[in-house]
Amino acid sequence: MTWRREYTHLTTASAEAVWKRWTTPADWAVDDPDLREAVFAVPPRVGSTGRVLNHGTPAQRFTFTELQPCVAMNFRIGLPGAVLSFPHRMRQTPNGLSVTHAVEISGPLAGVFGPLVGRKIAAGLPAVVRLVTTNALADMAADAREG
Amino acid sequence: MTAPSRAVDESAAADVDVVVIGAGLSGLTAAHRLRQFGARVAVFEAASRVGGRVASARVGGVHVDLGGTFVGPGQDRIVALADEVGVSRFPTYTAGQNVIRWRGQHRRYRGTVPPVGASLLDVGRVQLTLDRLARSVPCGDPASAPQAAQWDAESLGSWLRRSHASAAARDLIAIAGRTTWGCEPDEISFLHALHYIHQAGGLSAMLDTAGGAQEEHFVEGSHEIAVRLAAGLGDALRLDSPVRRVEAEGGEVRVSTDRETVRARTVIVAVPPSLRTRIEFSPALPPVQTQMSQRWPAGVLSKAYAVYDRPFWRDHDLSGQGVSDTGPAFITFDAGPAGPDAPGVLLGFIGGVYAREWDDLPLAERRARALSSFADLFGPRALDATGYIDQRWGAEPWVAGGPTAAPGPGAVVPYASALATPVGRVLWAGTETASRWTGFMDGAVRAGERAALQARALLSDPWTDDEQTGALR
Repeated sequence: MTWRREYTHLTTASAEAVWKRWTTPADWAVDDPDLREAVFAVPPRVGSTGRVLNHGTPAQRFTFTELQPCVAMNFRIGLPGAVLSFPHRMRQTPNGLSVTHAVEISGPLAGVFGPLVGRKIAAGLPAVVRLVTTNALADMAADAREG
Repeated sequence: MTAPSRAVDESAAADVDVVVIGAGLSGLTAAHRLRQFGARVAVFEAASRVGGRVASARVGGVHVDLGGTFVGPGQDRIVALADEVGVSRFPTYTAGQNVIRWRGQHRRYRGTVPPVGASLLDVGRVQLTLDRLARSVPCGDPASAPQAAQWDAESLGSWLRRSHASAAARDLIAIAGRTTWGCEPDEISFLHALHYIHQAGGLSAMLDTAGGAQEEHFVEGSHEIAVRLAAGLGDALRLDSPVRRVEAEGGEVRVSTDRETVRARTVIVAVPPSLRTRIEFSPALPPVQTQMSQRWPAGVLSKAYAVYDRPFWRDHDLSGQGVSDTGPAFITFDAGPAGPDAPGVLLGFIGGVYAREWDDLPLAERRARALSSFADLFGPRALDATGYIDQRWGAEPWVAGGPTAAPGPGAVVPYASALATPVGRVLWAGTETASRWTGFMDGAVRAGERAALQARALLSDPWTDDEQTGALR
C-alpha cells in the first residue's frame, strides 16, 4: 500500500536554481519552516546518507534514493513497517518550470502512518514549494547583480 | 506628513460649501448628493484616477473589476446609486459544482460550505456561534456590546482556539478572513470580526454567492459607477491633488494641496482610516483620531484574473467557484461576462499571509503561481490563459491595502468611535465609517450619503465664528 500527497506549482525560477536549493543542506532549513537542520555531504549521491532535525522531534537519518540533476531528487526515512520518502520533481513546460514536492509512505503500515505522519507533512508542502522557488528567484537575482 | 506648498496663490482660492477629500465611491457619493442638495463642492483626489478601492481594466478584450466587484441582497444603496447612473447588474455564474482542494485531495460540492469530512459539524457549530455572538454587537457601536472589552482583547484566531474549533473550521475561517479583511485570524480583533459579520447580516449573507454578497456584479464594472459620478462633477474634481493641510479658522475650513487652497464651510474626509494622518490638521485632531489612524491599518488583499477563450470549466459542470487550502489563490469565482459566446474569466483572491509573499514577486512569477492555483482547481487547461492581470492593493500608495481596515486586538473599544464622529467642521466618510456593510461598496455609499447629510445640516446652520459652531479645536 502507498499513501501519497503532492503539491505542484509553476515558477519562472530556473531549474538550476531550484536544483541548487534541493542539494544544498543549509538551504533546507531556510525553505522548510518545520526543519531545524539538515546535514549531508555535498554533492549528494544516491546511497549517501544524511541527518535531518525537525523542530521538537529527534534527529532522523535519511538516504538519498534518486538524484537526476535538474529533474528529480528523492530521499527516504525508515519507519517501523513503512518507508517515508520525499519525491521531488521538476519539468519545463510551455508555461514555466513545474516544481513538485511530494510525501509518500509505502509498506504494510502506510495506512497507519499516512494519517499520523504524512498528513502534517503534506500540509506543509505548499509553503515549502513556495519558499524553494521564491528563494531560487532571489538567488538568481543575487547572481545577476554579482555579474 | 507633508507641509503644504508655500507657493499657494491666495488670490486664486475658490470658495465652495464643501470640500471632499478622496474620490473613491464614498467621497464621490457625498459630492454627488451634496450637489443634488444645491451645495457648491470641490473634490480633491490624490491619485490620477477616481474610484479609490474600485478600479477596472481590460484584459484579453474583457472588462475586469480590480477592486470591489460583487453586490448582493441588502446592499440597497450601492444598487440604487448604480441604477441612478445607469450601471446595470448581472448574476454571478453559479451553475454546476464548486471544487475544493483540501488536505491534498480534490472534491466537488454544491452550496456554500465545502465538504471537509468529519469536521463539517464543527464548522456548522463555529458558524452558528459566530452568528449568535455577532447579533449581540450593535451596528455602528461595537464598544457597547455586552462583552466588548473581552472580545476586543482577543483575536479571531485566539477565540477559535479557545472555542476548541477543529483545524478544518479554523482553516476555513482563515480563508474567509483573508478575503474579507485581508489578514490572518490572529491579526484581527474578535470584536471587530463580530461587528463586521453583524453589519453584513451574518456569515452566510457575507460569504454566499447566490443569496449573499457575491450574488451579482456590474455589467459595465463597479468602477464605471465612480467614473459616471466623476463626470457629473466636471471641473469640481481635481485629480493628482493630494491634500496636504486642513485648517479651520474663523468659521471656515481651508483645504490646501500643493497647487491651491480652497475655502469651504465644511470638509468631508473620505480616505481610509490609516491615511487620515497623511493630512496635517490645524488645530491638530484630538489624539484619539491620530491613534485610531495608526491602529486601523488596511488589510492586504490582491486579485488575479485569467482570461480564456471560453469558460472551459462550465463544460465539466463546474461553477468556477473554488476553495483551496494551499494558495496563493485560495478562493476563485467565474467572473466572466454574460453571454453564450463570451470569453471565460477566472478571478482568484490572494490575501493575508499569501499576499504578503506574493505581492513582492515579479509579475511573471505572480502570473505563473496564480495560473498554477487555477490549474490545481480546474485542471491543466487553466494554464492556457489568453490574458492575465493582477492588482496588488497593498502596493497602491493612496489606498495602502485592502479590502478594508483590519484593526487588531484592543483597537476597537477605545478607537471605533473616532471613525465617524465629526471633529468640528471635519466630517468623515469611507466604508469603514458605515454602520451597515462596512468594508463593502455598499458601506462606502452609505457612509458618503450620511456624510452628505451631516454636511447639509452644518450648511443650514448659520454661524459667525468658531465659538458658535464648535469648529475644529
